Amino acid sequence: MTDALIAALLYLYPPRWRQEYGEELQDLLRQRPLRIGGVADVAWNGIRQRLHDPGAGVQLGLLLMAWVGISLAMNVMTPAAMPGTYCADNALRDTAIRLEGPFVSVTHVPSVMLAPGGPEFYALVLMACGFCTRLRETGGSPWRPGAAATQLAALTGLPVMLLGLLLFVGIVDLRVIAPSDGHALAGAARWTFTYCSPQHHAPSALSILTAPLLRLPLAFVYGFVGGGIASWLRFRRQARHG
Amino acid sequence: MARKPRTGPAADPELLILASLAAEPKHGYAIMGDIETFAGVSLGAGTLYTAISRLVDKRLIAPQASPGRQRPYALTARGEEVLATQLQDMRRVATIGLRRLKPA
Repeated sequence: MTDALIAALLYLYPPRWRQEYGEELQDLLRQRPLRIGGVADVAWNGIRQRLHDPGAGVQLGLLLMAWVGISLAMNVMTPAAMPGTYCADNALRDTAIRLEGPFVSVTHVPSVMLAPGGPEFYALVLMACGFCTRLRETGGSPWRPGAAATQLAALTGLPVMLLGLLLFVGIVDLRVIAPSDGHALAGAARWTFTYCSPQHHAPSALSILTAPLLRLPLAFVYGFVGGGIASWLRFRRQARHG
Repeated sequence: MARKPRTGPAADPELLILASLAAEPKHGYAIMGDIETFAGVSLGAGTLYTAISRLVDKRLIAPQASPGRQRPYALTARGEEVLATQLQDMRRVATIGLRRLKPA
């Protein structure tokens, strides 16, 4: 029980810190009787250390979260910012996110795709996150790069989930426009999210709410690939230097 | 018996660790026990190791090679310098403060 508790407490610390000091802290905790005050001290310092050293996933995730959040807020708060030219392409650039689709999956559940800056750029960011994580955390778990990219994707998706929630409870309305529309949006009501769909398909609030969660496994794969590239490069470098 | 400091510079974990390592290199458990003895302050294991990691990042202390799971830590030259400066500053402030507190 004590060992399980100590292991759980250590997981509150960032992986890089755990790798450096985890064994020593674990050893020290085993040598002394574990009291409530001691448990609280270890837990509190773990959380503080995580905030102090958030890792690539959280750092990049917070940046993209701010980008997506501001973009969505601009879309909702200023729907008529460019009257006459607010066609689908502009809307996409304006929001800086691509809520693509809805596409119909094998289970016929319409969903939307979240990819800030475009799918290629977003994939590159996820892979870079895995790459940096592997370089920073030598000898860590092989799943860490994937987990870091998943953290990034979860943070990036938070504003989209909030939008889905606001649409679901009816605080924000949804308007769908097609690239061919090209009509002015002047006079549009406030608190309206403008969604671009060539086929005029309107995603449900629920699908926007759950879309970021459905994309997490793919984010894990991209991060894992990025981590794999970093490991391969390190292996090649080590082989070259003997 | 001297009153145990709970707050203030005399209870700062980083300063206490530097002071503990001034005599000789020690591992975490020994640092904890030493601080309890000379300062009357019980540092939690989490507080101790996060302070140690900050001091290592600042290059004021450095881990030494060890066959065991617990690595001993030693003051670096910069750590000695920083500790001496901090203690002299504290002594100056303490001397003046205590002198002013004395009834005329």
